[in-house]
Amino acid sequence: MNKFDGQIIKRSIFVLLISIVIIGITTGISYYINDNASRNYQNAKNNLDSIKSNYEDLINRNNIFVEYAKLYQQLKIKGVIGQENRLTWIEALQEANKTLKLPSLQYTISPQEEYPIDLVGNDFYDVQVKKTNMSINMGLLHEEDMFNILTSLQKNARGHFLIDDCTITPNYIPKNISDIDISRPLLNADCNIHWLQVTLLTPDNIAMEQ
Amino acid sequence: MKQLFYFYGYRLKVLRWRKGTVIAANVFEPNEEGFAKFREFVKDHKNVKTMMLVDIIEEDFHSDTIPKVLGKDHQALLTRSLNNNFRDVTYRCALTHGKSETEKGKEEILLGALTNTELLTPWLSEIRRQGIRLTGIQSVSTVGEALLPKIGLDGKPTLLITQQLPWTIRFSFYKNENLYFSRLIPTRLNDISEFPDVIISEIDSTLRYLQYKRLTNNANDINITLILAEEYASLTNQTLKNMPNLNYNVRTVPEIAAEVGIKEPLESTTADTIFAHITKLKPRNHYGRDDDLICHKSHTLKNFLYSISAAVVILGLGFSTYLGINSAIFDKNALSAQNNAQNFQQKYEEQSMQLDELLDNAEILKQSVDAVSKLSRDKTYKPEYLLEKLSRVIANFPQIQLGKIEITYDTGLVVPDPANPASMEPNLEPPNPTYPKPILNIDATLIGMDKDYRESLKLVAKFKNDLANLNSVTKVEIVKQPVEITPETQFSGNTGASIVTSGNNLNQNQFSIKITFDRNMPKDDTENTNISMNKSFTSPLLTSGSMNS
Repeated sequence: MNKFDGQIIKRSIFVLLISIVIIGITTGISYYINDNASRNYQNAKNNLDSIKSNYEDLINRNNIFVEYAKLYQQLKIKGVIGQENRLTWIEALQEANKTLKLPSLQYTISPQEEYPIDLVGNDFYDVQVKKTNMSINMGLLHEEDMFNILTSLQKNARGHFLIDDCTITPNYIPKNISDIDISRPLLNADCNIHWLQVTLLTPDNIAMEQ
Repeated sequence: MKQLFYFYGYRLKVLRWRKGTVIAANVFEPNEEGFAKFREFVKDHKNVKTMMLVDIIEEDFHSDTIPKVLGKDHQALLTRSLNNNFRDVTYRCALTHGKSETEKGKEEILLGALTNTELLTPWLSEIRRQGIRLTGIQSVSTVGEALLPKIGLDGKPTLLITQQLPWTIRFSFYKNENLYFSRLIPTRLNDISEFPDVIISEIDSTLRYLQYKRLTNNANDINITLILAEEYASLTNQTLKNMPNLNYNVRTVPEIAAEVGIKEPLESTTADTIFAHITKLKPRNHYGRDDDLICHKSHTLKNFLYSISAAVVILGLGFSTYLGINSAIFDKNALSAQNNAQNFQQKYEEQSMQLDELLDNAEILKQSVDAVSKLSRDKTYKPEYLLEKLSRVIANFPQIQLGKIEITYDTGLVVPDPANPASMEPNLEPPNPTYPKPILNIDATLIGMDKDYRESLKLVAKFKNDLANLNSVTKVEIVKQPVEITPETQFSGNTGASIVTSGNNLNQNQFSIKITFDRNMPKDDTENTNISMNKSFTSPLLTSGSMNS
């Protein structure tokens, strides 16, 4: 015997089935549309991320370039990058001695040579690093004069030098202050320095408009 | 709307309520005309939930106990108990009374049965034929269980005497709101004055029956409540006053009706109207079989299926709406992302065009700057700093007169020289052009300590220690002692009373020291690299000793 009256429930079964079918179709279509929209959005987002990343990379490279370009420009103005300018070195020494009036000041500039590769390393393949040795002999009344000469040289000459060694030796010892003869140096100072010079292997046509 | 079929044993009364008020009532005879009127009366209300309340003489009860089990076993035990007591009865039921008070591990049950349904069956057949939504069949006696708490008789052993029709009285006994016994007594009275005597007689026999059945030990403990029509109540009350040993309470139908909330006017003067009302409030099924209730079950299933359909539609539409909104958001975001991408692309292309040429040279610029940075020793102590450190220490040693001072910067670069075997060995520490070691080599002389060699050695050792304590100094070595007293050296001197300066000890009291400084300048000393000579170097190193001497 049936537990339910078919006449009563058949319509509700039909309605349920129709509901399931219609909602299934509606949901399926909505899901399909949503899925498409989601994929489109994901593609657009990936594309945006990629372009954004390229742009940020470009900006970073630009920032690095700007940073290095500033330093490069400063070094070029200073004369560290580019061709050496011995004349300014000599002029700087002469100018310094005009003020200090050292009893003696002799200097020797050696021919330019390659910087030892062991010190430079192999990372700098687009540039050439050279050095020019210079020895300076100073007759001093006071050891500070040596530093004044070196400071003046670093400040006024075009280029950058590094001290290899400096030797200060007393020349004579005065008994009292009246024994000091300003034409006769109390101290002798010998400094060996070298000028650092970086030149480009490619033509020096780098645009510096940044 | 609610509907009740009240079967009195012969006629069928149909009651219909809306919002608690009776809106229709009719009584039908069990004949062709009655059935025809019945069909006409219910034809538009077949889907209304309908309870059937039977109030017939042929209802029998038995108490039984079964083992306390659950599930299918419980059902099987109930069926077995019903079969034992009412084997061939169609309309029967088993009502549980809970744990047995007398037998441990057993459950008390009340078995009820409509033992003669000859007059009920035609009505049930007609109800089935008409497809009326019958939700259950209950008897007046079991409905009484729901009435007791409403009139303040919960928990007490109660003999409830109700006047169902003017000449019909029902006696029902309840304990803990469970029915234990009930019987309907039709009376043949000539006059209303005979009613109290019949009542007293029946109370007496019922109490004796209850004691016989061990349902009570003491008749006085039983609360006897009578619910009677108003005119019968006063008469009965007067008569019962002569029986002081009975614990009775006579209530009128209108009183009880008001107490249980039946709206006026009452449909009947007797208690049947109260039971009809209680049944309507708390519909249950005790006697209805599956085929009697098929219509109701089908309607329930139908409603359930409609609910499911509605839920499916609502959920589906909700989900579709959610997906639709989501799609719209995705579309909007995608459009925004595309616009942003276009903007970035445009910016990228503009910048790229401007920078392409420049960026080609970036590597060369970087190498140039890095090369200078690597070799320029920006973070290394300058000579003036080294001498300033030396001057601070030497100021404490007036006996020391400086000779030659040599400042060098050791990058660690060793140029191989066949004449120097040490230079040919592999260098364990790679050259460091960025942070070379600053080194001070000093030649000095001790003044006024010509023959005091021990003191000379002590003084130089102290000088060395003081230098080593400078925070930027890493190593101090005495290259040459003021007195060469090592086994490898020749030593000569003069200890005579008259001091004669000879060439033999000219080199005595001269010593050399090598001071090695940190490679890397500490942050605190960074400022010192730019110190001015006037500020740091106030007393001359090489000239001061000589001037003093």
